[in-house]
Amino acid sequence: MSSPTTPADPATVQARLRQLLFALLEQGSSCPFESPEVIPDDVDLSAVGITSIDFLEFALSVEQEFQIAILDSIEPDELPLTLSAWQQQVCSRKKHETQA
Amino acid sequence: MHGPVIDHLGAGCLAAAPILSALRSNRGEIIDLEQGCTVAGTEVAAAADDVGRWLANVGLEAGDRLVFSIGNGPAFIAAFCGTLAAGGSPIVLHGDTPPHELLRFAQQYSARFVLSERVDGAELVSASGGCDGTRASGETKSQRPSSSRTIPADPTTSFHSQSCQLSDWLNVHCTELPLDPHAQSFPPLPGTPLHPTSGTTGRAKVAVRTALQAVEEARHYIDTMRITREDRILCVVPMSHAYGFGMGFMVSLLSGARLVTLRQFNPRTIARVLPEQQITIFPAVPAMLDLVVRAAAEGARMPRLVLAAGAPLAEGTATAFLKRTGTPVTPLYGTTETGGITVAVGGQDLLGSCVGRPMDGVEARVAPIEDAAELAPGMGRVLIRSSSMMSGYLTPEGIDESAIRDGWFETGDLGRIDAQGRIQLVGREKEIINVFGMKVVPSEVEEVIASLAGVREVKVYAGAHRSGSELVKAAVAVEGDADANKIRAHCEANLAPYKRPQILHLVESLPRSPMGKILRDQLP
Repeated sequence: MSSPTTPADPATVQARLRQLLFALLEQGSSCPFESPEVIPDDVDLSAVGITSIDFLEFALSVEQEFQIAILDSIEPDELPLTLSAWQQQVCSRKKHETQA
Repeated sequence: MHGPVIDHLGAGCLAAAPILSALRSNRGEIIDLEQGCTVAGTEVAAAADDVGRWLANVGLEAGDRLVFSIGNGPAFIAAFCGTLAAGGSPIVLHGDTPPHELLRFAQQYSARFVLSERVDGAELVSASGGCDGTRASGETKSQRPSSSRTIPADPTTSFHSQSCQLSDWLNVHCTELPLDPHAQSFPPLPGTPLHPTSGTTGRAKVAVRTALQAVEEARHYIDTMRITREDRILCVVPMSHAYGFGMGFMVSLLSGARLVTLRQFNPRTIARVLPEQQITIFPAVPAMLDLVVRAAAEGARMPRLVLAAGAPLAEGTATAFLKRTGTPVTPLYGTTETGGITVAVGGQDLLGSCVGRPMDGVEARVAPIEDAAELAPGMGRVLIRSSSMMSGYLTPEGIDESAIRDGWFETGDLGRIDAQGRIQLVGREKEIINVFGMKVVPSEVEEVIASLAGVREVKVYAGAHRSGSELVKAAVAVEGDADANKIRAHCEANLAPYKRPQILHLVESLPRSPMGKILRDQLP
């Protein structure tokens, strides 16, 4: 789990996001990827077989993993749709927290 | 078997009187959290009268069907009741229903109007492939008139569209559709709500549930759960769906309980709102509770009743919720056709798939199935008799009552009734996909996908979700330049979000037996 006061390294964040997404997809009946590493950065999360409920679960997992609050300020239909957009979201929030 | 269109369905808005009378005596409040407004019951009643007059001016006549698509909030209540007051029959669809689907329902049931918050006439014209004759030059959404406005057009070929902004919280578009000379004729049912349903045969239908039947359902809930005007109900399940319609809209209307509404489910918002708004009743589906429990603080104040309906309540969900919040989850079971059936209040010692005893005013029995050796003794089809039950399904010939035999409706669910009178459900007999409580008819999705150029054949079926719910899967054989992205875009334009396939498999061909039957166990 990432420290709440340390700025996040984009590559580390991206790798961890891949693992979180893979863990979620693996629980389903049709995971389209063989491992976290092969998930593309620009994968459209709405097209990999996850439901709106899974999407929220992913958001909660990201919040917990990086100790940030996302759903407090972003409504579900505005959540990022790609891993790279998630990574930017996480890094930006970690940076703000550090500066604060 | 088709019953006659009986007296109370043919007398102007008399049929709507049970709901309208509850509306006018309601002294409760509706809090729309997304719009940030609190609206008194009296204001909603006044707005409903305005909407009714406005619709009559637009041209709605008693018995006209109207496709209704409005999200949770006071606008739903005012527009719904206004439609009934004008003698219309609202076909109640999800607030996020896209234009193509609105038009499809309108065409299928010969509706003359579409009433929507999100979709205006221009979008309907665009969806229909026609030219935009609805918007006067220079008019934009931001310049939308604050009162109704007619945009003249040839009634035989064009859409009439009007917008009505009666207040900060009520802004709807009513579009009169072009006359269709080939439209099927349906019996007029003035002031009668119509609810789309998966039916019990796996074909999409529309259930005719009168205002009186809706009021009866609310009374069953109120009596069983002892709901009073001191209660506060959080409604995030769609009020367009039978569960939210009955437990949110109708119960608050009848009891005077405060109604707090949300359109989007956000577990963090729910965890905050439950204590902040001192919610006492929270109707949810199990998958929502899995997330709320993660977002809520340990020992967070919870409502006196946390209800779970729409999908089986997994033991893990109930246990985790109880452990974290100290509040038990209460299963609720119902169908669109019957309204609520059971609410397991009062410590009914539930185990597994048990949903409790029928509410007062509801009877249940189980009919054995011949040649079903795989079912345990006592198992069979669950049948319901209730004063809240629908009159039947809407057909061109009249109200089809054949699903109700000797007063009993066959739910399509399989189960048993134990010695304490509690219903235990074990599954469904028909091919319906249950997406977090929202029922999806595979054939409807198949027809949409098959209408895309390049799709040779398609099968839509249920996949398992880890929560115990289901998701929509589609196996599609394509040719030419059809691909997954095009299929997804096509579904997005034509289907409400919960009906769109979450998992899409492109296949060479569907697996079939020598007789041509699709082999379900060989689908990806």
